[in-house]
Amino acid sequence: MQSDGRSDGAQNGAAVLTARLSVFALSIAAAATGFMLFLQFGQADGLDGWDIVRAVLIGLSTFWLAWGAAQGLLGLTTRPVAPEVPQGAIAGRTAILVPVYNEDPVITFARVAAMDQSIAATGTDATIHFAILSDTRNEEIAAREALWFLRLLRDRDAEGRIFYRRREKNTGRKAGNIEDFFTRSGGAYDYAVILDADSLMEGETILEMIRRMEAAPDLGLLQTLPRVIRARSRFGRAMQFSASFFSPIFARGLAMMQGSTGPFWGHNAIVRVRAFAASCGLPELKGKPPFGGHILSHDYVEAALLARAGWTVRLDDDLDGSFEEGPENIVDHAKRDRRWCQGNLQHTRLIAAPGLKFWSRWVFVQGVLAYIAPLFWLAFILASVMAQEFAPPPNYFPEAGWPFPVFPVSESAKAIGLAVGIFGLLLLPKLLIALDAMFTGRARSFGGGLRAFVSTLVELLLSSVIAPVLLMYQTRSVFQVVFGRDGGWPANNRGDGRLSVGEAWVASRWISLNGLAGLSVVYFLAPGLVLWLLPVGLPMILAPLVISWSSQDSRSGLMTVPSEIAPSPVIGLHDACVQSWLGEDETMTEADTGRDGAVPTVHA
Amino acid sequence: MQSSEGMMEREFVELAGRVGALPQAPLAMPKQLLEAPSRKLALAMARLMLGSGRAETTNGAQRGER
Repeated sequence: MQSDGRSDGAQNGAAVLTARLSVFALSIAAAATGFMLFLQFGQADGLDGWDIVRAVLIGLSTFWLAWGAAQGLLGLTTRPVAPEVPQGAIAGRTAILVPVYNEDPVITFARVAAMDQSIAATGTDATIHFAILSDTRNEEIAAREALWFLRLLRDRDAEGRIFYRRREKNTGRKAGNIEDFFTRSGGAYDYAVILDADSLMEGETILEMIRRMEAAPDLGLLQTLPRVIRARSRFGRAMQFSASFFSPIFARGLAMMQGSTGPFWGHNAIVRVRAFAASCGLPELKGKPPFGGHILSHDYVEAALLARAGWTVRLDDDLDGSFEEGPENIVDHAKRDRRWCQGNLQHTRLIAAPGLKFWSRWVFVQGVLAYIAPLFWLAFILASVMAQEFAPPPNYFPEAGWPFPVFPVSESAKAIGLAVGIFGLLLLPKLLIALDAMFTGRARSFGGGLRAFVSTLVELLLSSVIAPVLLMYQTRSVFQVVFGRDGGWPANNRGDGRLSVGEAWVASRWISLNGLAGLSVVYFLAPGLVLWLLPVGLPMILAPLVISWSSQDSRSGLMTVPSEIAPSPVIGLHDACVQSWLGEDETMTEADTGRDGAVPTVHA
Repeated sequence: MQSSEGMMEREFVELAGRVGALPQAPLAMPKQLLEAPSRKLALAMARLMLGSGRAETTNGAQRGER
């Protein structure tokens, strides 16, 4: 470790290469095993074209599953270590950017108030400003933003420290919003913390990020691992538990593999302003959306561009105090996923961009695979049905003149072995993470070893039930993008999120009907496969019930996360601010706005 | 009533714009080259497809130079 906080380049290089090669080798070996086992299974009744197609699909799917599993296993081998950085005064000027788009200003601006309070509580004299960058299109919400911004200024005595501007046009969406800030005001700052409207960060975490930027002059971007908070529904809490319990281990594996070509997830990260401005001006892609136009998943591209320009992009997974909120139901998750799907598939045009690092290109490929890999499973199921339909009848007398029948050798054991292996890739990393947490004491902050283990089992069960529904939404998204349908830019629904069965039916009846039609076709064409396909078909048919049930409040007492046992102070500050503000209505008197520049009072 | 509320809203918006104005400190953010394929990749792919050393004359290579 160097004195400025950077990892030693040579050592890091060898370690990173070893990590990458290990995970690649494991994934390729798993894929080859899956491919060969399926070929042997298919050979039992004579190899045909369908068997080869299915073996290839199994190989590709297994590679993708193994890639994720190996990353998790790699993450178990080390623990995050904080770099040593000087704890002295901070010289650089920092802007904390809060892009908003039709969000509830009370909740969003209260986050700014909470973070400002949290920074003030550290006693720092560093220059840290907030810039609320509104792209809100709804005039009513925009007026409320203006009102609550004035309230925020008054509460925090923050004139000249907290800024607010609204763009007339939201060109380039979030990336354009950030770019607009850099081109107009970027010269006033050394660092910019980029947040989402639902981001919340501890003041001490923000200071530490700035210190790490100051300590490592080659660091262009530092990404934290945000934890999901405030989830209430069964689905939301499962996601929250997963993000807190499993994700840090997977992120550790990722951090070990990526070296200086780390990720940018679009928020809860800090950038060096001059590096970002010089390297990350995003062009509009030729052609129309979904593949042309503005770059949707801009964060991956910005990380790649920073790395291309020679800047280090780092994921510091040791940093706590970084939070975000997540969708509370499957439908909201699918809406967000639709946007991500379009953004990731758009990256196919950028894989061959000039000068990119190998890992950046591979990140683009992974992003695409994340959306098309589930289609391999769907294609495998379809190919299996077709294989049964078109399978030739068994030939018990393959040799002319030979009087005794020759029975095909059953290779069922290989098929079962393959199924066990695939389920193992899905389950093993999470189970090992749970065991590791129990043995290392990490589970204590999740309500104890037993609760964490049972939560893991319930999460596995729930994600298995939800998976076919998500598979259908993903499949639809991919087809929509491929056939040229632009998903637009819907605002995130950060509200209550509870869905009635009727609402869920409207959002998912097409999944139910597809599930019903699919199982009926299988029953007539390949009845032997019906039992095998029930775990996929049943959740599809029952999708409205699954969606509605999982959107309701969870009262199980499971899926406990550290932010519930020992809430981070900034979460409490945000709660207090929201409570105080929501206790008031939004009227002001003319007297309050009389003096030019005076900040008016919102009356209770 | 409606218009007075509307007027008040406009005043708040104007006031917020005034007191919330960001510091003026422009910074250039040049657009990056992303779509032209990498020269090396384009050459490698063209060689692979054409199986000859004449790939430098392909469109892909020319785009890479631009």
